[in-house]
Amino acid sequence: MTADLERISPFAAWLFSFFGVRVPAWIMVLTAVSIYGFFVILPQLAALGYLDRKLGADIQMRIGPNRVGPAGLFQGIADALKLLFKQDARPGSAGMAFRFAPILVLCVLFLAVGSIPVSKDWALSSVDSGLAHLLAALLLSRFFLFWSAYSANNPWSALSAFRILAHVSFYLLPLAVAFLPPVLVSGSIDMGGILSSQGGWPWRWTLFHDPGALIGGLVFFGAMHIWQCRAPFDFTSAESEISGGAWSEYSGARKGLVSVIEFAGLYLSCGLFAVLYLGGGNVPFGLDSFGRAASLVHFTALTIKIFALAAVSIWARWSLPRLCAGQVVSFSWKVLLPFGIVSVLSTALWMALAAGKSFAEALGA
Amino acid sequence: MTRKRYEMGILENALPEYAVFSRLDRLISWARENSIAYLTMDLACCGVEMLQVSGGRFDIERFGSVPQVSPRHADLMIVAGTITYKMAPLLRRLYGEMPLPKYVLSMGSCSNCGGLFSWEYSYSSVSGADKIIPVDVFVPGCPPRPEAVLHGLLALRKRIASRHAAVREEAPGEWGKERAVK
Repeated sequence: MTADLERISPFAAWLFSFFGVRVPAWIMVLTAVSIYGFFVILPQLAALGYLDRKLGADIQMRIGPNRVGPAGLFQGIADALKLLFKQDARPGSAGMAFRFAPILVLCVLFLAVGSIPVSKDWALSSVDSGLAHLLAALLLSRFFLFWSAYSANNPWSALSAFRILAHVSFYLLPLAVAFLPPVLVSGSIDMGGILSSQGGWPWRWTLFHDPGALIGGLVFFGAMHIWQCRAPFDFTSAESEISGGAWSEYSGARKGLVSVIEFAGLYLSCGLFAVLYLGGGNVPFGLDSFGRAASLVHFTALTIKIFALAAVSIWARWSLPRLCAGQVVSFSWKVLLPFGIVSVLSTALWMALAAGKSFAEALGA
Repeated sequence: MTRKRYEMGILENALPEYAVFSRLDRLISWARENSIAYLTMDLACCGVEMLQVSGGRFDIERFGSVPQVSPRHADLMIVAGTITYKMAPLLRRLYGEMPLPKYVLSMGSCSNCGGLFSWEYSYSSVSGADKIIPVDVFVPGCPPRPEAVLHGLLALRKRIASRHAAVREEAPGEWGKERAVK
């Protein structure tokens, strides 16, 4: 049974390997999901929110929140509590989906977040179909986003709903193409396989495997940013044109969920880039060569990479003006897609010609 | 007509007066006073000064306040500028769309009392925001300096802190009776 559990949820197996108790597998999985969600993911999302506000304030030459706790660290707690105790207003004409759609978006995003492996032991879910599952979750989250926007029965939200649908066609092709170089390099569509094919040193990452993969990585980061709907690609929820768009009718605790969804998207795009291209939680010097607790080292390494990437993303968000839909689509189809195709073809060519060796290995040999 | 003032929302009078609940009360007030998202109602020139408040020099985000464009996301409405008769119904509507608890900060003479455009001089504007919506804080000035708006925000924070989230207060004034008619 433990072997099966390890195949489905390595994190649950790892967690219960410390205790000698025998409990049903579903309890183990439920416990693992709760612990992973509330103690691993949620604090990171809160930290991303804090980083967003402070870094954004710094870019605008402001101070940012500094009254609540040391350097405004507890601002997120105050925001969350306030939203919890606020009225949860709902337009009378809104449909049933209005209530459940943000929760569904969050669930689907968590499906994707849970499939990001921190290390061999620390992966909440290990899905054989790997990247296909991930791409499906990324698309499905946009579908529920459309649902929530359309059910609000508000002209701005409806406009936003149509923009969300159009938006799928913008990022889908470059994103799907940019998933391929890691698959070609590692020979696996399983996230765990892609992770274990890389090493701790930068020259063992997929990004620096060959020139094609380098281009693919940049295309992937760009396409994931378009997927996130954050500035400068947030024309689906532009506050100046369509008054917040999809989320403009949400208040109270559901507004809090919206913030969680936004930062879950940020976490997901940075985490995926880190795992697929930047070596994930792998560390050099054999720092992880001690027992089961080595997963904490992997976790620290992955978190550092995610936050460094998130800082780049926040930098772009606060310094670039919003692009309109036409600019996004021309960036996506005229820049990202050709470069993505070039990257896939040249990675495939490299794998054939260099017999699977990376750039550094080819130089060494 | 008994007008129910939804000052503190559904929690009002929902909890008995026990010590535990008073601590909870304090916690909720702390969260509310430290995270005031405001709806930018820039109706006239005061709006420019209001935008300054969230800028680099004055930075209202130090207090956890961020501007919002959707009334559903806002706790506070900063009415900045002249309320014309054409805008007044929209102001009321946006106030009605804000979720409870909600506060209003009236900024500048026009929205305090009509100012330069009060009923004595103008045929087309409302003599004060308090004629159509309940106002918590008035900030004088024409227009007020951003420091004055920050002072108004601090006054509002004190007002939120001094109230109980869960205990009903005395009846409010008859703010809504007098409509914006001459």
